Amino acid sequence: MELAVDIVNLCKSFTLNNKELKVLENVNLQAEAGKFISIIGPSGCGKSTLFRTIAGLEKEYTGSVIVNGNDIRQSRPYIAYMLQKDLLLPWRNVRKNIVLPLELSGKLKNTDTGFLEKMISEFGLEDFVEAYPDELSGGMRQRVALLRTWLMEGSIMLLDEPFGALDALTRKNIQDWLLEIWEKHRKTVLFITHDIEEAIYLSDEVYVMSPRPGKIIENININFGRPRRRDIVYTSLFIDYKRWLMSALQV
Amino acid sequence: MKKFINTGKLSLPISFAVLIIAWESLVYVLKTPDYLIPAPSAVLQALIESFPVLMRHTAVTLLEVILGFITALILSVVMSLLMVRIKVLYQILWPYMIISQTVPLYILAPLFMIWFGFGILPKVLIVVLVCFFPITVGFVQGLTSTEPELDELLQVMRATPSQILWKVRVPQAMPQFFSGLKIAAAYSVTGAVLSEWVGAQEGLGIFLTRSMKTFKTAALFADVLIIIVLSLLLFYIISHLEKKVIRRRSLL
Ligand SMILES: Nc1ncnc2c1ncn2[C@@H]1O[C@H](COP(=O)(O)OP(=O)(O)OP(=O)(O)O)[C@@H](O)[C@H]1O
Ligand SMILES: [Mg+2]
Repeated sequence: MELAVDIVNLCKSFTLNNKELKVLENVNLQAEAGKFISIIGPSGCGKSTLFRTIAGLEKEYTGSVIVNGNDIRQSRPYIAYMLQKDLLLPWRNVRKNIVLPLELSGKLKNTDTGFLEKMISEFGLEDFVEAYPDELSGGMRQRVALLRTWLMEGSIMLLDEPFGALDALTRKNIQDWLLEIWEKHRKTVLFITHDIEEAIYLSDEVYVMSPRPGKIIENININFGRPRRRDIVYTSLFIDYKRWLMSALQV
Repeated sequence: MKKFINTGKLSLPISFAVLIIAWESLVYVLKTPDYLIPAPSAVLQALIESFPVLMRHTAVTLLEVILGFITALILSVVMSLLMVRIKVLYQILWPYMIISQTVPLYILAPLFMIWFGFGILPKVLIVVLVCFFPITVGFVQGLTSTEPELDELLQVMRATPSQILWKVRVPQAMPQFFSGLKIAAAYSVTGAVLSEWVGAQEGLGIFLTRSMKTFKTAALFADVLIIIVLSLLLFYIISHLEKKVIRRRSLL
């Protein structure tokens, strides 16, 4: 299998008050193309920093990050990155927010409107295209931000806790919906979450990070078939995974 | 909340009426002479009597205000954009802008008159000076206050500097830009009047000095009334424009 992301011995520190703050220590992560991979770890362990490095926003690090066969130090990768905040532009309506990446890359004019309409309805936003971000619920805002990320260039998606701020019910709905869309398109997804069940339910593979300095302390494959069904959460295998991950996280 | 807004709408006319009635009756009871404090009715009478003259003066002042305001607006927008794009320009110009604000207007106004004559030009220049600073401060602040995460997202999307400026910074700066415009609008009329005070053939400021010298206090009050109405009108026009540009539910 071809590796979409290949991270070898990544170390990253910041200087904070003239002291070195180690954030990532020898992180190794191999993501096969088309897989859904989750990363869980305690708050502050360096998950967002890891994503920022993959996206090319952090230049100072040791080790190597290879994206689609190219070292990101040599050629900056095209990555679809959804940051922890949704960062919707309040003065743009939903449609204008969504097409921002196309607009910036100059591809909006050549984009098939039929394709856009199809994506908008797949993301369940057809009734909201004229609405402004402050008129949307939290779940809707996340969908808008996700679709905007989807339309960014690059076959690799980095999703940093996209559902962190949602209530349990909305969260379940949006997970099912994300799976449905992802199973249709099969992009490589790296997904940060605090929620162990969410990680198991969505992923092919789960990485567990230690408290800062973040190391990979566990890496397990999730052997449920696709398309996933919600009732796998009641199986003993699911509970075994959960127990295992919880003990790795020491919660 | 709704109740609060309703009484809020009524409270202004009511308080205004109460104030006028109290003023009128106090002047009547105390029999204060007109040249000290004229009653509202006397002001109204003066307004009606000198209306044609007042309108002629108003036209001149309004012209100064509009010319000055628009010039300042264009200058501010161009300078703000340049300063945001070219850091050196900002470092060089910003101190001078602040210094320009520390020189009192009543010193600049006669100076401008000596340099540029008794015509409309020195007055327009004073209005430009008065309006330039608040508009520029508001706009520059709006353009430069950014969310670091948004900058990073734009970087990941490979936005060019000019795309960032026009598609993000400028729209994001609109609320602060309009705050600056409103302050400038409020100052602009006073600026024009003050500069006419020093010496002019026509304008509300010169009418003000003439009324004062001849103890026509009621006419003076009528003049001030027009100044207030003009300022409010400008302020209102800008608030209205703001609502059109910033289509966004108010956070209040
Ligand atoms: N630019 C920076 N300068 C200094 N320290 C930083 C910087 N960015 C992050 N850190 C520190 O690095 C550590 C890891 O931060 P990071 O945001 O990657 O954590 P995280 O795992 O994403 O946490 P959370 O789950 O709360 O989002 C934190 O201790 C943070 O304070
Ligand atoms: Mg984070």
